[in-house]
Amino acid sequence: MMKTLAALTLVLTLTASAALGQTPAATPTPAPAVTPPPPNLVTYTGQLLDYRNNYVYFTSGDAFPAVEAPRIVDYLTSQLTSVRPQAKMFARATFDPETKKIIELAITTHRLPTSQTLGAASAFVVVGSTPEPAPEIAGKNLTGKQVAVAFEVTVPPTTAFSDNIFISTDASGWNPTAIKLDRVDAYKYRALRFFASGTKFAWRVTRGTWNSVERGEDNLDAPPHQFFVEEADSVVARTTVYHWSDDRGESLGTGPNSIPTPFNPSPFGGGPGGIAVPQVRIPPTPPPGR
Amino acid sequence: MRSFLLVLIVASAVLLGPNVAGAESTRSIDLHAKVVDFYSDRYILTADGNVSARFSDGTIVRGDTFAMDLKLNRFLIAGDVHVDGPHVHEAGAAFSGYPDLERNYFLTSGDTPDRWTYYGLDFSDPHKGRQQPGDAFVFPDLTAEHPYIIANSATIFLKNNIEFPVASRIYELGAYLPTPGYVVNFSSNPNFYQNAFSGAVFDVGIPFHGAADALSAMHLRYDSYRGFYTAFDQHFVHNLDYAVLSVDPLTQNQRQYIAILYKRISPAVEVRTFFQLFALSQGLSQPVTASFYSNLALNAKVGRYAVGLNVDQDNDDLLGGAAVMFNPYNDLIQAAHPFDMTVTVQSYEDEFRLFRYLGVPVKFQYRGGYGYNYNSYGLAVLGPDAANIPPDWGGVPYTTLFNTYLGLTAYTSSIKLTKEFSISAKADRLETWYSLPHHTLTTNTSVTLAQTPLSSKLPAFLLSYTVLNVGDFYGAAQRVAYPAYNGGPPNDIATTQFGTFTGLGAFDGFATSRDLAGSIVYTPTPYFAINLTMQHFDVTPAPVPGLGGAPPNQFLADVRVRLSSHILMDVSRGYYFNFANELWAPQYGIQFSP
Repeated sequence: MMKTLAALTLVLTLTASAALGQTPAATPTPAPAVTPPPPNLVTYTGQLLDYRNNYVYFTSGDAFPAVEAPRIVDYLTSQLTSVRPQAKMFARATFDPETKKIIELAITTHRLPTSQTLGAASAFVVVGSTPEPAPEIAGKNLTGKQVAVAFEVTVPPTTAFSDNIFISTDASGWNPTAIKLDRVDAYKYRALRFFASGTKFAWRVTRGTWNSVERGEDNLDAPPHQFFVEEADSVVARTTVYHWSDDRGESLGTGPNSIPTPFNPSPFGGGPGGIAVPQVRIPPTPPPGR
Repeated sequence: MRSFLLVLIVASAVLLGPNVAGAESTRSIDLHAKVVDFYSDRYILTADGNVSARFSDGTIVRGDTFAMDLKLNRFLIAGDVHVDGPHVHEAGAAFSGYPDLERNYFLTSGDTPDRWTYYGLDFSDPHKGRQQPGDAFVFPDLTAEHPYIIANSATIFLKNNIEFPVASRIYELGAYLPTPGYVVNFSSNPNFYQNAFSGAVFDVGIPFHGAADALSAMHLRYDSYRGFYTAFDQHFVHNLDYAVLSVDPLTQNQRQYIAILYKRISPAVEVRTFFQLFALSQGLSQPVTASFYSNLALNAKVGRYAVGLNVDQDNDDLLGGAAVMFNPYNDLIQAAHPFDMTVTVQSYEDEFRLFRYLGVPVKFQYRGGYGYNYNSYGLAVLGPDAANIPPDWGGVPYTTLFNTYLGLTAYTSSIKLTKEFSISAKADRLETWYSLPHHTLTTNTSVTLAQTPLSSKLPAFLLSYTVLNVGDFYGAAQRVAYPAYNGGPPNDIATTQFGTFTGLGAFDGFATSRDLAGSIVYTPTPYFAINLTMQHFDVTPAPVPGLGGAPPNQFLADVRVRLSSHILMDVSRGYYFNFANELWAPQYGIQFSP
């Protein structure tokens, strides 16, 4: 069995390697050897979306006009290049203030520090229509910085002292034990994690399995909590658990092996750590006729 | 078997047949390109070279490159973009989709570039010049990231899953291995993860087919009893509703056919059924043995009460003629169909107003219920008459049992003593009366003192004292129900491998546990945390090593260290102070999490 598995793995690996041909690999970034543009010219550095119809489009969403045949140079060598500017490349555009057009485009596939604002280049942006406000996108700027998110969960008073409480999120494939919380109070658990600002995630509280997940105060299944990480140093995600899905209220179930009988002391095993109960054995009596 | 499958399919269709509201934005994207890469750490999908993205209304957007943040539900197509559909034929530099906002943003490439905004899939009316998000056309930075899956096409069901076709390559075991198709589920709906599998120590799910509301997966599983085996489950999910149909194991003769169906009938009512059929058969031929377990749970919100109905039904003899194997006393159990039902009512949290005025808020919840039990295991096995046919208690046979219970939980909020210290107390009492003449009483009381510093970087301390009393009251028949162990003194002696223990005959159905527990939580940085817990139990009757009961002293250490921005390692281990010759727990608990 193991030999077969090993052989299968080997064959699959060889097949994959052959089929791949090449695997993506990180390209080291050489030290830039750039001739700085003349100081009197305006420049803008950013990532390209497209170069079309003598317009250069950057990921800022801005389009700049270019002269009929701008100098296309390699950013690292400053030498003319036949490589055509295309999406995802980084580029430094140099403008002629007279014509308000790009006269040189230094391009590279390596990531460059981009201009934070358009600066003087904003005067060269071309757009056909008069800007109109869009209230639906009004909001704070999100930089994606790491924000401390404190999860704070209040559990029902019936939760045992030794119970482990976890956060499950869609970011972890709804693993029911993804983030373990620490008990800091009779009812409160907490954990601290970092998320990039702008991150959206859904989360639920569990006691380690999907059979012991939080439920609403009405004891009905509730949709997961949604959380959006604001642009801040720290934020708190709070919730209160009213019931657990495996908490049936009567605590002594009526199912098999849960009825308290002298020979079935399981109800006495339910306390913290369990309670030892001597087991009484009655020798079996064969039914008549056997 | 066929009838069973038919019933399941019909039930699934009924349960999961709610109305589907018309969507303003595309619900799916059929993506084709020279290379399609999926970055699992970031939930980002990219495509390069002759990109074609087809929306659910048939509109096709072509371009040089594509990127989509699956969690943020935004996508971007850039470079020589062409938008073609029933009402649109435009060329541009970039197209960005924000389905959550029902907006598509377009940078045109005509004589004069312009910014257009389309509302949803209405491409007949471009809103020219309308402001666009500042990061609408920004590519994700994937420097130092490696794709987990490489393909040349993918179908994206927005907010749910991506289906990669046959021959997509997945990065496992240090190489890109071809797959027979693969589905990545990234839904924020956890009901895609409902399943009924249990028992395996190793389980790898291989989802191979997906749709907006469905997911099919094979599972490779291992346990010491069955060895390696496969299983299958099919998920249907629509909002809060779900159905899970599974076969486990698929490749062995002793199978479990499981169906879980959940329906939110209204905002205040839910119903969940669980059906498990055990069958031993060659393939799908007539089983040799078959049994089932089913459960129905109906929950409803009625005013400020949570009302529930729970029903269990077993049948261990679906084919008839089952052998006696569970009950050593008689053959009633194999012939019976154990059934139980409980109706429960639980109040919402309420508060004693008087205590609030006194500055010590006390809250409470109360609950009650009624249960019925028929032919359950163990019911017919009571006392010295257990060997009778039928077994009886005091000369009366009990094949059914009714019970009624009432419970009350009262608890304080955390009461601030100082800025950092707080105290709280809680008490729970539950009393259950049975038609078989006895009742049980459980009382649980605890007080907790906590020191929670204002800064989470300082250690937090917790001290808790709990008293748990449980009792089974038979009145004058107490010693009939709980005869002294081995006839009582001087013979109530148990000898195990850990020694000889006396006094066991004192147990007569009443037990008490006193538990003193303390813990320290210290999280000086987000990269390191330690949690130490010490518990001492004083239990009557005392635990007997080798016979039962928990160690009187338990220590648990839990250390968490962040290894990287994506990996947190959690190591825990217990110490039992030489109870039953056990010092440290045999195994470390090790868990890796994000």
